[in-house]
Amino acid sequence: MKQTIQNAYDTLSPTEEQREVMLRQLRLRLRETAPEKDDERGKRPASRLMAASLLAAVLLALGVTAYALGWFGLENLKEQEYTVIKGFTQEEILARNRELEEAVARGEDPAEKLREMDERDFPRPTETRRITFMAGLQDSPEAQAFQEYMAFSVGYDPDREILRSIGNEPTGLEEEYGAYGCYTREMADKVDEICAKYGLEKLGPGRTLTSARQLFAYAGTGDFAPKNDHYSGQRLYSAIAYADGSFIADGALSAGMMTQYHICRCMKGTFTTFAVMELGELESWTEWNYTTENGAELLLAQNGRRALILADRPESFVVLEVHGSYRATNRKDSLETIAEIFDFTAIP
Amino acid sequence: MDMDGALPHTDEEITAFYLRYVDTVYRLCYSFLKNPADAEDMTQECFLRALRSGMSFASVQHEKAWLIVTASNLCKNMLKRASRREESVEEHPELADRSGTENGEVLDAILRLPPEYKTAVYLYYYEGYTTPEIAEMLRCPKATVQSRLFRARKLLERWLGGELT
Repeated sequence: MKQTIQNAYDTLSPTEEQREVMLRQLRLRLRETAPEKDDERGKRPASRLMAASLLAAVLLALGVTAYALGWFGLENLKEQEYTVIKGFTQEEILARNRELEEAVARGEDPAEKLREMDERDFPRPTETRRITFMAGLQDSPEAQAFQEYMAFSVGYDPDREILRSIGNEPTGLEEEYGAYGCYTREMADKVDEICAKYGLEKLGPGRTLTSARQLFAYAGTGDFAPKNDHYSGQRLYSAIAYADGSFIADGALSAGMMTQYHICRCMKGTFTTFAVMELGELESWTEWNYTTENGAELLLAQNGRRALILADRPESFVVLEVHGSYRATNRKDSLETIAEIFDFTAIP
Repeated sequence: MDMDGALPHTDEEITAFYLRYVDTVYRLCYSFLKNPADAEDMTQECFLRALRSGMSFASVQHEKAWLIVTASNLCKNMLKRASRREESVEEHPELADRSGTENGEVLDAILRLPPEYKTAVYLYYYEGYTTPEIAEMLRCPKATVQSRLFRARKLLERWLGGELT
């Protein structure tokens, strides 16, 4: 039944032309409704405090990988607990969103409302999180750099006083240090110091790409995305890629099931902080090594709610997470099917 | 690998955000409104609300969930406001073209489902969400989602003559 219904819904997908028309109209409407002080791109208000808080919830923790070249397992991933600024719960985020919507509906200035909400909701309490860093050998420069920066970050501006004083104004650090959440020169200097100490390069500015072709060219990979995807006619939705070849990308696939995925590649020799996950209890995961038909050696893991594919490639470490599919997160054969429709050998 | 919760700012980021979710939002709107013009309008409205809002999301999944719920609510409100009559497949040539095929018949049946069943059916059968995930998303008890799915399945089976393959 599921497949029959999926096939029927597939026929409702917009055509390429419809997508383009809707996007053009959306841009026009955004410009029409943008406040005068905003530029022609139609910027919306944003809370740097909120973004930093959300980032802190996933960043300020430590884990290091410990595996030899060749086969490895999740048991080789070392977790560590850190006391971090407590992230907003989904309920709290929804409540903030509702409050903002209501204010906008009453004709209030959203930027002003956001400032008012930030004043009320910050500083935040702290909590303990167990987070795993997903890209680097235990004693690798990447892992040590990450560890040092996280130790610095946890103790820096703990009550967000500095961040509150800066507000949402540009700092001039966004391009070069935006990937590390830096909002002061002191934080940026720490990043430089760590990179020099461990012989690593900075990520630099990320570039948003909107097609698989653009990503392959920019990241210097071959064509690795699923070729049998008829989910939406789009093999990759979007990606943020860096000059060294690191990237984070979203896509969808249809290997007997419809699901979305998130893929992350971290280059060895680059200081990265975005490849972190909360794995929870390792005992809850089923994991196994798997070699694809074209020879890529992978670690597959699933725990009923999440599914992961990890690849230790010669120049990079790749983690792919499959979202929202019961079959992918519970059935080994389904995850192996997904592993086969990617070409991990195309990612050096 | 969770991404931070900031919504897009730049033109490039807006394009990427739009491309990531447009198919999901459009299909859902179409299943409610049954014609491409209204589905396009409502899809734009949904993205416009997200992009103008200044909202924050804990993860990509929450971002998507917000768009799905918002699109459903916008469509339901539009149907209520306009007291729209039920439109048949024959009134829409782009749908009628597909009638006579298995996909066309199943689609016709899906479009006939009561609005309150449509979101659950789409999320469960197409997007692959589990019943507890749908219940959390729609802010209703898990039993309600199960009941809607059960009744929707029975209706589909009745209209399509026997069990769906």
